[in-house]
Amino acid sequence: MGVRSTLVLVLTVLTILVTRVPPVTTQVSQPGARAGAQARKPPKPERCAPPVSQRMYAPLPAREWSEGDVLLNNRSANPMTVYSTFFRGGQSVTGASVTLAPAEVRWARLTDLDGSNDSGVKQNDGLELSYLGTLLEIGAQLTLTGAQGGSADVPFSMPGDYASQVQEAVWPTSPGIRAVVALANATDAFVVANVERPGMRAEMVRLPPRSTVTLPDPPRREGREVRPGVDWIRLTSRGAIGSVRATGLLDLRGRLVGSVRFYDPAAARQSDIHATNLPLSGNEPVMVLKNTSDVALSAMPMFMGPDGVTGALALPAVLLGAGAASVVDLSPLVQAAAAGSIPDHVSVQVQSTGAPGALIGSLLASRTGHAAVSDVPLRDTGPVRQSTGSYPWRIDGDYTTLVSITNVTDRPARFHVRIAADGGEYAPNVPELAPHASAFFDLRTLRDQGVPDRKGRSIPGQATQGQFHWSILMSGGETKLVGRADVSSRRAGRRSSYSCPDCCPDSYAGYSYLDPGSLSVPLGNTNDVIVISNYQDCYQNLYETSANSISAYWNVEQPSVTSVSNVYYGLAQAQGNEEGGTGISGLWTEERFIFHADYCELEPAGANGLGQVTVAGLSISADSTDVAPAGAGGSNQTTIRVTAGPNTGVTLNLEAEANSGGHVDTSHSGTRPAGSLAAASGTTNGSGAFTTTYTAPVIGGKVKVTVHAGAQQRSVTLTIAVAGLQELGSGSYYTLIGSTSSHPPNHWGTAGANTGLAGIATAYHNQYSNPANLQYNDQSLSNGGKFDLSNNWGDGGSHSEHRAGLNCDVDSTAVPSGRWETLTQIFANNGATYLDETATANHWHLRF
Amino acid sequence: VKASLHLIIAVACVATVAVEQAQDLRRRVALRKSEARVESPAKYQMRIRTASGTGNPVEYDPKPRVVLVNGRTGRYQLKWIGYDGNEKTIDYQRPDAIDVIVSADVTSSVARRFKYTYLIQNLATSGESLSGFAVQTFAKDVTPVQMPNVFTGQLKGAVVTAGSWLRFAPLTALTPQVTPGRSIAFTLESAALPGLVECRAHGGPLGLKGVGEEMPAELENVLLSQAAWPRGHTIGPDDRLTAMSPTLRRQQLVTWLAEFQRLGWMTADAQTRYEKAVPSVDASELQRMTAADLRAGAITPEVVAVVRELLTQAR
Repeated sequence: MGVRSTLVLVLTVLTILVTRVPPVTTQVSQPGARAGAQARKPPKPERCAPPVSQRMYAPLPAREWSEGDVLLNNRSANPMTVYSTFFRGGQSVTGASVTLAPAEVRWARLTDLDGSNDSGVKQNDGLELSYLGTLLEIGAQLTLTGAQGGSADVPFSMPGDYASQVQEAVWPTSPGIRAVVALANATDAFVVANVERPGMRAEMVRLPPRSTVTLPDPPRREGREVRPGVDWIRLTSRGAIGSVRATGLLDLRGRLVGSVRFYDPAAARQSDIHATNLPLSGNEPVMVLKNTSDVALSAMPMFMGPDGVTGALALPAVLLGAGAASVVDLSPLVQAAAAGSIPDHVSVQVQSTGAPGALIGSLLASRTGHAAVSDVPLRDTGPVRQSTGSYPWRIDGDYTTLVSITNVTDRPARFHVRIAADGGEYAPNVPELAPHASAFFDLRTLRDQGVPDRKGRSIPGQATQGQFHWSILMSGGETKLVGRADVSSRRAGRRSSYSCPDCCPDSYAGYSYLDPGSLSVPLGNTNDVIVISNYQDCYQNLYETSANSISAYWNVEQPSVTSVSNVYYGLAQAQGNEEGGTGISGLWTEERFIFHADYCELEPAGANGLGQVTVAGLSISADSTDVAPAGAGGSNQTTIRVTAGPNTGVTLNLEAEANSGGHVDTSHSGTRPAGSLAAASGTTNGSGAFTTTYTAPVIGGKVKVTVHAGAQQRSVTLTIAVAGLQELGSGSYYTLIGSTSSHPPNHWGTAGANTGLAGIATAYHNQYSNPANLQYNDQSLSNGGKFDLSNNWGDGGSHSEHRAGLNCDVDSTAVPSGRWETLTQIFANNGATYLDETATANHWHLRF
Repeated sequence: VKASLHLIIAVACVATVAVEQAQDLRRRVALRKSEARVESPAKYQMRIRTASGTGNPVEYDPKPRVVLVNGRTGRYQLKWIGYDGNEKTIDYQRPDAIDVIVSADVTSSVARRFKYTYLIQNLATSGESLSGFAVQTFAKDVTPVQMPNVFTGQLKGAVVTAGSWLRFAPLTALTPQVTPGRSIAFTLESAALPGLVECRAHGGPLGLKGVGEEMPAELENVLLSQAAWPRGHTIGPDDRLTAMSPTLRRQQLVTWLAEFQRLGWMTADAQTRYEKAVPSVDASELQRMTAADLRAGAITPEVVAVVRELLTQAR
């Protein structure tokens, strides 16, 4: 499987939201579970540690780099200001300060931070960044670029990263490669470091306060210049723990190809070391290992694909004597990659028989045609905070960012993700990670695919950088996951790995809810309810995430109505057993962490969610129960919706209500029309729904739509009417005529028409001395629609236009002909146009 | 100008416009005409008629359509297939095929009632005779001066959004009719001061001659309503001005000056001068100013009347 296909597969899995697994529990009501289960509002977030001055330090080696970028990453929910200080020969020079918006990431040029007026940043400087906040609230990393290209990462370190006075590093050597190692004294006291290197006598390096010393190149040693090998350094300082900060660059004829990473063996938590996202396709991987202890150990490298199973490859164990280092023969891995029998991106686990911290390693992967080398951190899992991260990402130009998260344990692990970009956020649903499986997030693909998250959000199309936050969920306090962001640009010749964690895993914020809070379930069917919990990180950022409802206890007030079972994390299912409604509540456990200076204390937290379930049996409804008659303007159609059990046969019929709409049925001939249905029978779908379209007839009135399913039946009554018609009623200066036994009420009109008719009669009365009343014949029927003068429910013949309440026929025989012209002026004064039918039908046909 | 206007009214209600009057009015803006379209309905319903012989209901296509007879005169024919299977035709003339200029003057009587006289010119370019003029008022005591063969009455309906409207309509017995190139004057009386009001005019016959059956509703829908009558501004009685203090009246007058200029009642130069003068110059000086500007053709009688009555009448 190629890289692309592997990634597509993984991303597809990731973006298909939640992978469902069979229900795990079918819970019975837990007595008393409802008691005290009150929904709470989100509490005001509290920091897990009070803000204090935080300082981090990076040495700048004396050689082999020309420029550098400092990545500043604000994990806080608040704006943060970062202050920089350069140390030169023990003297501090204040650099620039940078204020970052919440979730902002920014790459600043090293020279731009430099506050001096001379030629710029000096090599053999030290750079300290400080801010007021919580541990790791600001993330930072230095990327140095070589004079001939390439790049190398220089992490910033803090005193808490160290547990002893010993640090060790191991790295691969090959023809032409030189290691440039720098030691810095980050304190104000004098420090001496004992430096041990293979084949050389130990030497004492004196480090004055706030000084940086770059170790001289070791003398030529036989064999190292002609074949691949391994080199290492062991530092033992005489000073405060964490006083010495060490870093190194790997240089290949002016091109930076990697970093020398120092580890404190005493800070390790367990024996094995791990790496995530080792790229294989087209790459040449190199791995070296060192035993830091004085007892021999065996190390077995293993390589796993994204699913934790496919292509798993174990290499022969490497026996390392006390203090020994060795190159690992990766040729079987290279051959497997070339043969396509192992995925293009793999995770790495090197099992060790030694004590925690006894095994350290280095892993590089160089790619033909790419100036930058993948420097893949290979290390101990560390404390539980390592199962978190807030990485920078960028995809401007040809930059790519691939975030990988690997489960390093034999147990499933859960995590959630929040991607910040352009002031917004995107929270893709991610599945549980199987043992040793990896999840990959290609930020460019995620942006371009625009797959919406649960709230319909996506990464804005114009976004080119941001922050990728993730945190383990329900860890049990165990470091199950490791992750990193691989950010690279072929054009810029840069490649950086970011893996800085947060201070602790995200914690339950004390508020959960069910979505929807009111769930409708068809009888005999099921419907899903999403269970959401609010989490917060160390830095006051709040996240909604799928709750740990996989083990929820559900209490149902009316158990005969529904039963609720867990389907997956954050997903439960209600079964419609009986028509009715009931309250439901779920109880489950979430995790909360309390931050301490050197560890995160786990505290289980109870959570609950309340909701309402309504189980509906056979039902029928109309999108609108008011429908206009055909031909009278407005919509004469509406959608009829039927719900029943899934896959249930239903039949519908129509029945016009007698004597409705102003028509007396017994005075009519023929059958009163009731309209039509697009489908009068059918079968409900898997969700128990059936829909069809009703079309009204030309006759106004009421129509009952009845659905039958087995012995059950339900009805909805539709009103077929022109909206807003009013009865004109009697008046002093006009007489209503034309009422028949078929259509007793025949003077319904719009408000405008009725006002106009009253005004006409009054004006006519005022114009002449006590004239005879005007005679108003038919307007419209009470519901409008066809005024069937022929009493046969037909659409033909006279009164074709008396459907919408706009017309009235004014009898001309009651008006002396000498007044006709004045009367028609009065018509115009009251907003009416008229059709003069005096010659043929003795009336004026008015329209308002 | 005033003398000419009165002479015309005194001699006859309808007269050909005097040459000097036309020169004065040349700057006036004609009433704005509707841009409503009268077109064949794009969609329509089938009709049902009783088939001869069988007596069964039969659906048929009435084919309603509008045929333009003369665009200048706004004449159309409304055609459809009737229930008897024959084509029916009704003549229709749109009410806005008319070019109208309205001018007004105000005189006061001893009884302190104002006489508002409106001269309605149906310009020679019009396509139809004037069949009505309506003016907006904001006074309760408005009474029209009755004229033979002219119908007067209160207008209601879509155009009446504020105030009370009085409509004058020449009847068919009026001789001669207000054909294109002729004019007519209407008069009303009120004690209210003159203010800026709306007016409308329309032409052509009001109704349609029936042909024995109703036309399809889709054809009725194309008929233009009151809202399509050409509209503009003139001066009319406004009680609200009477209640204003002298200072407020001056402020009100200043806000109208730009509209007066747009209506062609004053030159741009005059507008500028009056914007400066109205707030501060005393009434007698303003009267002298208006008299001179009227003689110079810089303002019309409407402006003279409003300035005079608003600034000199006691509160």
